[in-house]
Amino acid sequence: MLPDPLSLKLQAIADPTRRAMLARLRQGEATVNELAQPFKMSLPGVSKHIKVLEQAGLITRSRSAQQRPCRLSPEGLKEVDDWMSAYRDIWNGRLDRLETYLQTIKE
Amino acid sequence: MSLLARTHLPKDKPQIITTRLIAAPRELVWKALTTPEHLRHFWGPDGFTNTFKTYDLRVGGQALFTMHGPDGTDWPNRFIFLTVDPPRLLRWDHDNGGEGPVDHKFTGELELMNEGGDEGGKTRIELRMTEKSIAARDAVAHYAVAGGQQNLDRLAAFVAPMVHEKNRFVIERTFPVSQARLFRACTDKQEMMAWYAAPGMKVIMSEQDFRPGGTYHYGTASAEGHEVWGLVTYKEITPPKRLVYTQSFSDPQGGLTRHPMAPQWPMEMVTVMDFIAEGAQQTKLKISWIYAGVEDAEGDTFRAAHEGMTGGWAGALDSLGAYLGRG
Repeated sequence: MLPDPLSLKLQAIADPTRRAMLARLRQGEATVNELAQPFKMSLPGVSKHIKVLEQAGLITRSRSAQQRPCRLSPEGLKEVDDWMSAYRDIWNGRLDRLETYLQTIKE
Repeated sequence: MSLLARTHLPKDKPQIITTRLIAAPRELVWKALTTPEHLRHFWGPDGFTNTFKTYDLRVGGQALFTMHGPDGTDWPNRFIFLTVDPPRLLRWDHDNGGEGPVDHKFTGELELMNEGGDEGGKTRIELRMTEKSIAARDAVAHYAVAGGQQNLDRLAAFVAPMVHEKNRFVIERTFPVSQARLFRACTDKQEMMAWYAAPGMKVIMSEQDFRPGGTYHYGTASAEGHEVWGLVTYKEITPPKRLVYTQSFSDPQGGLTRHPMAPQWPMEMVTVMDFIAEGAQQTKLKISWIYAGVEDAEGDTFRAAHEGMTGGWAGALDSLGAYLGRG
């Protein structure tokens, strides 16, 4: 089974190193070398993480500049956020309705 | 019915063999299985709890404990340990220690094997009960088969949050009603109809068989006709305190399906609802979702979503909002 784009995104952000990379990119675009700096990890290891993020559609890499800096993909991140919020909101909504329901009935 | 536990009844040996894979290292599974403080929560079939009098883990040592059944019946048990070989093998003679009307004598064995090598982090567990004869085995199979599977599934759900705290996601809410009232509102089909589905969602099916082992099959449809089906299987019903069930996405026929938007979402989650009385008219509802399966992709997806569900994403999303605003 080919994973769908959302599953790829969820798996990509399941990893703490990749989440840290996303956090770094929130401050602005960065090269692979810059992204590698905080981690005790080989460049190929870092490149692998970046590739996962790129394939998941969470980041894009510039085609023009030689360093090919990475930057966040707002569309990709929004899709993850929508899904996560939906899951949380479903149960919060349910408990809100339960609370209202319990107020309307007698023991 | 278990997704992962399997039972084998050999033709030529008076045994009941139950196996399942657990996503936990062997040392941890061994610890859970040999520590009374852990055992009391999960040992036995669905709905059972235990009180330990003694637990002397050495060859010739004894464990004396009472199993409390979901119907309130107490079952005295005794283990006399025959083999203690951590973290691989535990063997014991089982009886009732001379107490209680039922004395089910058998030899029990728990074998723990590393699945996928020492570093795999997964354990294949085998629970073997050896009865006195094939006839004796066949006489207890009607409850021992399901009971053995339930026992291993409960063990898996118990150790999952010990392996990774994000294998469990908890939300809590306190309501100004009695414990019994809240339990009813969360378990009675008619009452659930009043609050479970979101406004605008039409309930197109709601079939509840409210007993341990029973199911709740439901379907909702949005105004646009988008349907979502779910299947709940009740594991433990202890009014007014506790409800345990497994939850899956489903199809209209009641078959299990994948999450329509995220195929790597867990096929099955264990849900525990604890109704905690805080006063005559105040009850806390604590809902825990536990991923107790063995698929790495499912586990990763559940744990990633956990970040979102507990608000771990709040900070990140603020930044994202700022980022988008700047964009």
